Amino acid sequence: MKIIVQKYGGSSVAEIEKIKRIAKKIEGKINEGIKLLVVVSAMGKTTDNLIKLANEITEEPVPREMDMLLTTGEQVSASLLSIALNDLGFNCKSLNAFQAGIMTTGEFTQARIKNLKTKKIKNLLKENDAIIVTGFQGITEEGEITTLGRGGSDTSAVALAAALNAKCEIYSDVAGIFTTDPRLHPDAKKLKYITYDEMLEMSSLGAKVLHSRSVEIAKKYGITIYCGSTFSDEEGSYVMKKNIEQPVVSGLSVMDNQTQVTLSNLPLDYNLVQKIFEKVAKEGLNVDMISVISNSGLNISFTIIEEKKSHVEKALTQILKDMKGYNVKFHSGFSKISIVGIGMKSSSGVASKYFKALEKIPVKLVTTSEIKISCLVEEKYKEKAVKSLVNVFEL
Amino acid sequence: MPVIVLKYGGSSIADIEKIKKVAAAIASVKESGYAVAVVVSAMGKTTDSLIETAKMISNDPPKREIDMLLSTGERITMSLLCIALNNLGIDSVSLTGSQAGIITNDRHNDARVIEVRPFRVIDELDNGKVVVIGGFQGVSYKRDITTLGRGGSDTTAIALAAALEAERCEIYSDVDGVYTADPSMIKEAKHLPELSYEQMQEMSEAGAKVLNSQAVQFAKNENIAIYARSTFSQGKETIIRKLPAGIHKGVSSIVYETDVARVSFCMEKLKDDLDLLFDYLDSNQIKIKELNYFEEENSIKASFIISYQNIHNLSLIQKELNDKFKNNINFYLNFGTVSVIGEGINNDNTILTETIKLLKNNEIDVKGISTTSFRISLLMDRQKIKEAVKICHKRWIEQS
Repeated sequence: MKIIVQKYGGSSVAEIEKIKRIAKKIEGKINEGIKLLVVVSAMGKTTDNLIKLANEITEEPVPREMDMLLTTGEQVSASLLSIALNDLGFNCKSLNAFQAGIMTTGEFTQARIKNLKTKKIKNLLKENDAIIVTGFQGITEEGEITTLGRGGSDTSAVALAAALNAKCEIYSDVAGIFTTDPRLHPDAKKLKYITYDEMLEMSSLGAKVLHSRSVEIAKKYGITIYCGSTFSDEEGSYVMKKNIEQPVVSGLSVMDNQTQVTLSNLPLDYNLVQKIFEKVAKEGLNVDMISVISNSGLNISFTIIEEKKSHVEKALTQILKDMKGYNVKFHSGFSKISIVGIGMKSSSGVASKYFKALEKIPVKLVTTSEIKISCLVEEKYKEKAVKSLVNVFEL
Repeated sequence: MPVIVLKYGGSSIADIEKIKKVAAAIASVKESGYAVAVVVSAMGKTTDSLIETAKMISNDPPKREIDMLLSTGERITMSLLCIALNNLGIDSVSLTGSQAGIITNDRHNDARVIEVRPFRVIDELDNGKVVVIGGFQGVSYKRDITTLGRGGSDTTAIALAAALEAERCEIYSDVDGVYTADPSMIKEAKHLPELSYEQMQEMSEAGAKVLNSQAVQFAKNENIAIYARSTFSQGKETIIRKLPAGIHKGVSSIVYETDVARVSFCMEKLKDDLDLLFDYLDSNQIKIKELNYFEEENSIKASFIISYQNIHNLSLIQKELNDKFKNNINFYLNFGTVSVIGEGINNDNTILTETIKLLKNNEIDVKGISTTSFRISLLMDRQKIKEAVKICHKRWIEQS
């Protein structure tokens, strides 16, 4: 039994006509004798609309109930796609996470897949031409419904592919992985191959193509992910272990809505640094671009995404409640721009080229890793910075 | 702590403002010292629009997938209601039909509750939480999601009330109880402060949209009093409970149903077409009512009616039956029924004969009649229903 796992994103299933077209596309594969396991996201802007609805009640809805609410989105698209395939004369069933046995940890809104109970799926694939599974969601041992965070459907798909030892194809309205966001820069070039590590940096840096957890799982189990366009035959991109082409810099990614948090005049106590980041981690907040400077006192700065500002503020107030004389400042309206490339490890001169490209732009912060360099700039300089980097690195 | 089950219908929670108001009402019940379980329907017209969406894809959507689709409606409401309750400081938790232990048979779209295993509900109530349960849905022993058909959320509420040994079950909707006729059709309709389980069941079976018949049966079995009230206006209510026989004699209400089809069937004797027909209907989960069957010299004639409100693929079924039985089968889709309900109304034939005479005088043709000891049902063209209800109500309620 040859199985392929396919995943269709929200814009691919945004309307009935598109769902019917996907059913047709799947029909082609079934007719080749392949069994399809299809993972779907919620239709179009469904998830955003549900969040809006909850926010009409409160800005801080209980996470457990948010998961209960949001998981309806994929159940709607999964059942509709199944209806479309049945209408074409195929045997097909839709499964939610509970039925599909996608077991996760218990952190609502950002659970992680622990394991998959694939016995039921395997049995159903024997009797059916295709099985549709709701992406983005899971279930705990206690039977609680969880979600995997934004973009979590990619993770559902890759995890299922790993468990079934199948190929994984991820379809969206973008025909693959580009050197930079083609919606912002029409000249961006498509990459034929990209390594897991490069893709991980790109995903965590704001490239919206793949959920980073999905790439981690693919890397762990050696699953090649194909990313392509839902409705065109254009060749897409492969995320895999080695990059045959080995460019120095593979891509550039931009992350908007960055807020810089600056704590100054703290007592010179390194335990405090650890306490602050421990607290922030406990609250499930992601921080990046950390810098710690000590002179007479301690100055800490890091970036967060803007929407978590009040949450971070609350956490900091709690941890620093007995301290006096310190300052906390929030500066919003920044973008983080990063270049990524596996070749950086072995090439010199990347940093100097990078700073030369940005010489006319006020850069607030720079951080680097083995395969990436990131900088923080005010949003108004974003376009200029990206253009210049794209030119210099021929992206 | 006494347990109470509250149920809110689709119009009571049609938008966020209403959900907030309902949350506030639940909070005050909780504060008055009850352990509270709440059952909710889908918001407003959600279910209808989901069915429409499915029909844009297929005119024969698989029933299992329809249930998968429709059950999302209540999940949206229950999570929003919990978000609102938590926002008021009321600790609450939402549960799907499956999580709440609503076990059904596998007749998708019209499943029966066969068992309630409310362990999780009891645990959460013991933890002091308000438990909000998605109505209308359950899970089959195959772990497939099922739905209970029209009025299914009432069934969920009352079945839970029975399983939790609740003090009572309060059903909230946009009407303040049960009337002698549909008050949106008949402005002279009178409010009924109390009804017996039997009267209510006859009304439901005859098409009254107040409470479904399986729901009333659960209440009757466990002797749970049902309070039907209006969500947003206080005052009147109808209590449905055990009443001694004979305290409400005579006609109590006039009820109608619109989406009714009559199927007539004619065939040669000795052929097993009738078995084939019934097998086909059964495998498509179509319930037949008021079967008439008679033999003539060489042929057998049969007719029955079906209520098609819960049948999402009627045109396809009609086509398949026409292909199978050619001219031997005929469908008349444009029917409805009007029923006169009341204890002992068929002790003699006066009500039946006078009703038919009255309708005839008003040029309303009665195309079929069926009776039970609580009910006289008359089949007629759908266009005539409103007029017939008016005539019957005037004669048997207003003038007596």
